Amino acid sequence: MSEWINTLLQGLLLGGLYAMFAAGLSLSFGVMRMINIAHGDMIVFAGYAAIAVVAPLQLSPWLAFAVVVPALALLGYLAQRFVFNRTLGDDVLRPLLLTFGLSIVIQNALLEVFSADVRRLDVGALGTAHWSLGGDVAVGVLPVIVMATAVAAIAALQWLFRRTRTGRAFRATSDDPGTASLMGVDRQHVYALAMAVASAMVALAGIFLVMRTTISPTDGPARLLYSFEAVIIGGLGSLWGTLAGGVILGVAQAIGSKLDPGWGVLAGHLAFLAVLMFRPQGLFPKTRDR
Amino acid sequence: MSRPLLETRALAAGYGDFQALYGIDFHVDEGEAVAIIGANGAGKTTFLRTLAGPLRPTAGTIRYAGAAVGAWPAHRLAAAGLALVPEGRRLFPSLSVEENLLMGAYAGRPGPWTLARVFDLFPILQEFRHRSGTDLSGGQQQMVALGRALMANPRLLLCDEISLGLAPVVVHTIYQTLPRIRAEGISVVLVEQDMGQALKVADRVLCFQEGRVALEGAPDQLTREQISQAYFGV
Repeated sequence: MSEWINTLLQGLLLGGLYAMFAAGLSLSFGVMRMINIAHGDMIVFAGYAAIAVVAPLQLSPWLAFAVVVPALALLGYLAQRFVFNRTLGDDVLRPLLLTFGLSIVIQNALLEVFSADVRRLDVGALGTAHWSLGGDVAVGVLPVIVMATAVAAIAALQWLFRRTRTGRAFRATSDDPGTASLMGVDRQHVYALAMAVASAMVALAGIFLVMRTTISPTDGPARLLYSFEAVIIGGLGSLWGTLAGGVILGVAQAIGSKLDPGWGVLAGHLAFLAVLMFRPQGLFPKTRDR
Repeated sequence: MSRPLLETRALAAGYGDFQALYGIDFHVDEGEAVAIIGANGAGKTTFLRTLAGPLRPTAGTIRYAGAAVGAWPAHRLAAAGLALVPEGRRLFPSLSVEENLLMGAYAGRPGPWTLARVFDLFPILQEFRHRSGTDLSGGQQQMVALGRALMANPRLLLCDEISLGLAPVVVHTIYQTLPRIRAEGISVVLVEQDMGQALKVADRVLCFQEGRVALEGAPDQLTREQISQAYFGV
């Protein structure tokens, strides 16, 4: 019995990581209506960036956050402002093709620089530390930190969207970019800001990913798939739904893996398909069609 | 002596191969209210969209507050104090009434218009401030759209068919607020198909016909016959 409780808890906490994967994707789709195929590769890129910052001098892994999160936010701003924005318009295929190409570029660049070996960020004793919840039930300290960060980050995003001038501009531009520009909104800048926020989420997710597990340069597309699944399960446009989506995906994967070590990913896909069949709009849809 | 706040010379504009405006000479002075009337397809909306930025002129010049602004994007014109109440109101559906109004103030221009003053002008909006704008009646939505433009503290307010599709009593309510709006020294350009209201409040009226100015003058100096001839082109 306690074995199953442990499995569920692990899945639940894994959901925190998936929620962070998904939040960035959801944001760029929500504001720019742009599907970023390179999203998963950006997560993996952030993970390698963290390794590159910390590993050579054996610095504290927490330093990675201070460096990689702002750096990726800046990179995201510049990429959106000077590259992605040029592809936005009536043709939805152009951003898809661009980010698809970018995905291949990132994978090969990582392969070139870091080789195909799997890598991880050494977090020392934290990697195995756990809290006992009585009996045989225990939770890992790091997964709890990841989940707590995910909840805090999503709460912060929610606050940004609901309570700030920039957040209003994000939502207004998503609704109707032409009318928003009549209010003085510079669309190019607002899109770039949204990508900066999304990239900061990507950086958080990527660093936690390499703290929790090993990565290789070609892991991006699978992360993209999990991100998509979490977003769709949760419902487009809902940030808390994204957290729910991540948790459902994480729990499904954990249960699958428990039944048979090869079934984890498959069980996640099956949970996703079940949601698509019975509630195609997701659990907490917010986005309106325009 | 009033000077033009906005002036166009030989302005032309259109959509792709279709030319909608031919050589429009137009001006609106500081504090003046100008009405533009004309039938469907006369180019009135195109003209306002060219002034406010979504459309670029294909020929001619636009000067606003002393600067040549023909190539300026809409967001820059908005920051310079040019506000458009767009045709069809175009409220942001995922924003509440209050958030729609606050979007109007996005550019952060200082001036007399605040949320409190807009609620004072249209008290019904205060009651519905937390509702979605799209839950309101057409007239209330138009009040939000007008209030949102005022929140920008504009120097020039462009109104595109604010009476369209509204009951006469609602149109009357909205037009009643115009003197209070103009009292702040705002210049106003009203585009209307329904000329009754427009002629009552405007200092000067222009009639557009097939992309050209067919008639111009003070409302009390124009006869019904002149106007209907310019309007319908008989």
